[in-house]
Amino acid sequence: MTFKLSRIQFFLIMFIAQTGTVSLSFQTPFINVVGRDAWLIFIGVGIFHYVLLLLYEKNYKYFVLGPFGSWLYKGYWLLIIVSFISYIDYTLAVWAFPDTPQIVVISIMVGVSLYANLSRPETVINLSVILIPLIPIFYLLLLLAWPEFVWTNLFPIGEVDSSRLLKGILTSQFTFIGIELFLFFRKHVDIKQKIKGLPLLIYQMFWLVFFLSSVLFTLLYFSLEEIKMIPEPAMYILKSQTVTFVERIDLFFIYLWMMWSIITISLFAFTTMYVHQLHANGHKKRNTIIFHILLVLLPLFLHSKEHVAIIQKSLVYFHLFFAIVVPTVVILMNRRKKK
Amino acid sequence: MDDMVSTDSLILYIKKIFHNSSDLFVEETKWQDRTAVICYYTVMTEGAQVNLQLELIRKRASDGLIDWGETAISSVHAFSVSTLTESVSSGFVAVIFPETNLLLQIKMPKFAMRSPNEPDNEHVIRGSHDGFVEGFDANMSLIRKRLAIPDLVVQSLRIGNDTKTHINYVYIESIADEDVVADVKKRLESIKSNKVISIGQVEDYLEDSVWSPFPQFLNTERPDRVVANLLEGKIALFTDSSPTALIAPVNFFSFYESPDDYNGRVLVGSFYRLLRMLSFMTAIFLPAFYIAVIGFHSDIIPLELGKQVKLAVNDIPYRPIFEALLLELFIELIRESAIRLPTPIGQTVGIVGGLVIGNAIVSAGLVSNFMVIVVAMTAISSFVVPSWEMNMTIRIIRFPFMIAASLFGFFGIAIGTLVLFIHLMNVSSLKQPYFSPIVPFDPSRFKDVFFRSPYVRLKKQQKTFTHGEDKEGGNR
Amino acid sequence: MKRNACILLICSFLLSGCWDERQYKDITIVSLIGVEGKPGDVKAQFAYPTFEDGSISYSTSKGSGKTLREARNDANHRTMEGLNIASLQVLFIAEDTAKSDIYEYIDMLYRDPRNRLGAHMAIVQGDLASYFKPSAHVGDDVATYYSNLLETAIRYTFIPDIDIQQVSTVLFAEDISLSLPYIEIEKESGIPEIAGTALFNKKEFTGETLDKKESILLNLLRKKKGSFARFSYIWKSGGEESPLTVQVVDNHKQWKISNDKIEAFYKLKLSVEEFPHVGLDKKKVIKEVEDFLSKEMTKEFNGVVKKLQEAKSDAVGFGRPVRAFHPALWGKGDWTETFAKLPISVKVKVEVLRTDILN
Repeated sequence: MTFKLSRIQFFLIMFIAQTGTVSLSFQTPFINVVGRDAWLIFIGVGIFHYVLLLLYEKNYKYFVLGPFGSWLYKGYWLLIIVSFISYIDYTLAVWAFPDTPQIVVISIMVGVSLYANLSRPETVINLSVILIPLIPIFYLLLLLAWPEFVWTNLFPIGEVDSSRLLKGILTSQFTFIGIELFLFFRKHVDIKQKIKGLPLLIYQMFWLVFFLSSVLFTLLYFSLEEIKMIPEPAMYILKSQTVTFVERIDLFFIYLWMMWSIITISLFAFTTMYVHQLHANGHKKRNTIIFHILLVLLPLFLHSKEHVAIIQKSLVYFHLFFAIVVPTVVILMNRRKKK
Repeated sequence: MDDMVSTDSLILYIKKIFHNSSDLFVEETKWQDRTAVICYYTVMTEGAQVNLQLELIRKRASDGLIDWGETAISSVHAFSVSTLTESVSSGFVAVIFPETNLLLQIKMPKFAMRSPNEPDNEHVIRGSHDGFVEGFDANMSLIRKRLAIPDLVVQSLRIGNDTKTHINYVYIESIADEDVVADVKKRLESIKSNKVISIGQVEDYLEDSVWSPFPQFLNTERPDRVVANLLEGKIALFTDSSPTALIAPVNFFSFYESPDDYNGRVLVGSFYRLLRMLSFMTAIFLPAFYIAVIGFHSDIIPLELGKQVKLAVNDIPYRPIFEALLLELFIELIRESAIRLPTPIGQTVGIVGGLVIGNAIVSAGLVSNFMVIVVAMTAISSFVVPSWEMNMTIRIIRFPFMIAASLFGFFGIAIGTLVLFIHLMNVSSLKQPYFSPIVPFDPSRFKDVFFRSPYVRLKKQQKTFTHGEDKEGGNR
Repeated sequence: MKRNACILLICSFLLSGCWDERQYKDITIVSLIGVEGKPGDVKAQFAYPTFEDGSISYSTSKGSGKTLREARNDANHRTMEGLNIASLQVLFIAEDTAKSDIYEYIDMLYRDPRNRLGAHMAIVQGDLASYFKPSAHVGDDVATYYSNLLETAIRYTFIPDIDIQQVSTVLFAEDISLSLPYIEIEKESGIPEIAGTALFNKKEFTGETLDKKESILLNLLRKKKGSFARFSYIWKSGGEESPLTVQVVDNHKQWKISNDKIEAFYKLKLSVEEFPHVGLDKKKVIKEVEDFLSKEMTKEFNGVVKKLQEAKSDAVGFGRPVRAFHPALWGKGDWTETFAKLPISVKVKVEVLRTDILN
């Protein structure tokens, strides 16, 4: 697969891959662990994210994977997609489709990803564009809750102890998932367009503002005890907003979020197939179809809330391994080789 | 041909070739000291004009000019049967000189021609009001009038063994992409059909994906629209018998541009262009949205409206999808019947359909009045598009959306939107991206698409699906 | 290949049914719910419009059960279509029922994804049935009547602007106590009306209520003014008497919190709406009016705070800054207890900003 990305396309891919499903699910576990300090900790985590991006940017040229490494990544992405799909499916079942058989919902969603992945690579790359007008609307609707924000909810700060802090940082890693795509797609970016410096910082700010504000909104809107009961706080905020022309904006949002997640899934599937093509030749269509069949079947084994939660929790460790450990090893090895 | 084949037998032979068609004129005539045979279709050539031209050429011949037969409209060829049939079939006059074995061809066909009136399906308020007619020469003159440059090139070829249809393609050499021009030529030449009658048929052969609901060629009968597109590096195709020009490669958004935008004020033009984009949304999503709300998500109806809606739908025996399909069927029937009727009757049908049936169907309790509002609004929105093809496309693609909405509510609509979006990204027009500023994504070009910028900027056609200048493109 | 897959996909769409379809015509929109009884024996009433032959009429249905959910299912047996509380407008809880943990009754509303959380909630005095069928005529659609009644009261700052979602937020917050509109039936006319504010301690109704004027003061204390907040006094100065009505235009609050007391300063900017005495162009008169109002209002504000402290209900939310910035005071123990004993003084300074179009 040969394709070339512009700067904007590249960052769009990164943003959609990193937000997607996680944008709805990560606040509650994160805040439950670290309490009111969540927002402060998240700023710190954001700095870590930026450092990671800078390191990636500096070393991406050395990140060349062998077949074994790429199989590891493929497995990891499969796990990510499966966990995302099962989470989406669970959420959809709770919010909208209690009676529709799981397999129907899942196969429709995976079908869209399959269709996108069987098309040109450019289709998947640009698919995220559809979200550009929708995300700001979602954001503005969240801001409707402004009058009900309680500013004192952010204080007092500095109550968290070190073990909870560590746990909190671990939970916040959900927002990083997908960052490894940087290493894979960076080399496709137009050489004439600069990534280093300001553009990367702007991307970092987008990422930070998006996630930080979702944490802030949650903290400001709900009381701490209440957050424990609410798994998808952003949905709940929207649910209680009243706009004159329509009730229940959360219903629109759940489908927007679903579209968003499907695109995230397509992006991950696309990356998986792309990495697979690096080492395997031909049969692209067949492989894509097999991969998507797996995506339909595997989530069917995870259907209770418990299963979804377990796999979600384990995802963080995998993420740390694949976003930090493996790239470090690979980059160091390749650097030494080059010398 | 033997020297002393009598002209009589030649005449008989010619008559045989043309199967004794009664509109064929074949006569022997004196040409200086020899004989010649004049041959033409009386319906395509004016006899008096023939006499005048022959007189002129005779004079040149008697003056002893070497190129006596070469005038602005005539030429001399070696005689062959195929030249003869071709000339005569095209409406030329053929004068055969059996002794010298020459054929004098005089091109003075006379066809019935409309005056270049404004096309009925593409009215504008301001701007030029002329339109193409059923003849390439007249059409080309309308274009040349607007583009007085030598770079404007016409290439023509004949396709279809049985019909020998003339196809002309027009482009501006310095702007159009030579690959695309070559591609068009290749595709036209590869048309294998024996009968090529309409431009729509040509369109089918040239399209990248025939099964896509989206038109990949812009059909227009307006010279100003063709000229504007030529200047953007596009290619226009004409047949000799149709007033419609096909323009390619196009992108989705050019179907939403009307010459009116650039004739009017900047703000006004931008507003109406945005309105048209909005009409695309309402035309596709509105009935689906209503069906989804009534069937799945009644929670979102505002409380004040809720009672009214409930009152309206409470006694309707059918599911909303059938209600919608019933009404859509009515509208399509009215539309289809009114098209072919003469205008006064067509209006009557419209009134009968719109008012009488609309009113009666609600009071009969078949359809709720909200559904009537929704379907009517949708129909109006779909007519806003300045292109007839796109209008039909929109009318078609809202049905899958309605079915999806009736099965899965908003979920169906969201999935449908994604599929539609992916499809639009996949479609190409002459191998160039159809959904252009979106694939490859280039926000800097959005202002020209969604707004009418203050001056006409020559937009270059987007060539590849991939970002960047190299033309490798993506492999499919 | 691709086309076949597409066709297959579409066919599977058509074959599969519509599992989660709920036609709008098959549901009954409940717009008003009343809850009474006690945990384990909940009685609920539902008011909803019914649609027949193109006209709307209104009816109610009763149900009982161990929980509100069961009561709702019970009521389903007595209605034509399934009761749907997705577009609930008003939720009533009877006074006695609210005296135990009210979250038990409303958990169902939060847990159901189909529910609307923007509905109003109110505590009603006495028997529920009389609110569903008031003896006086208030229109057939009682739900809309109550909803409008509450909205108007919110606009006039009589009651706190709070919907079901915020009720839960406040219920789970430790630093503020819930206060809900309190509705009673006027004895003479039989018309249900806003009586004031019901005060809560933790998740239970204290039984204490504020009257209408006190409710306005409470909302001003919270700095949650509606569109209008009016007060009327009889102004006395040097033997002269004059009615005086003012409207609060702007409201500044400043709380000084120390470890053993809270001092609250309020600066109210007013516009004079009624003052037949005339003479407001004179500085002296204005000053007199301001002094008079400052004094009166300080007295009244302190009265409200006293009442809140007696009820052990921090409806104002003094606890919020305390929790956020004064850990020592917050750490003294349960906040409502601390609040009840804490000396809180309120000082009001009034400034006449406008005199409307007369002097």
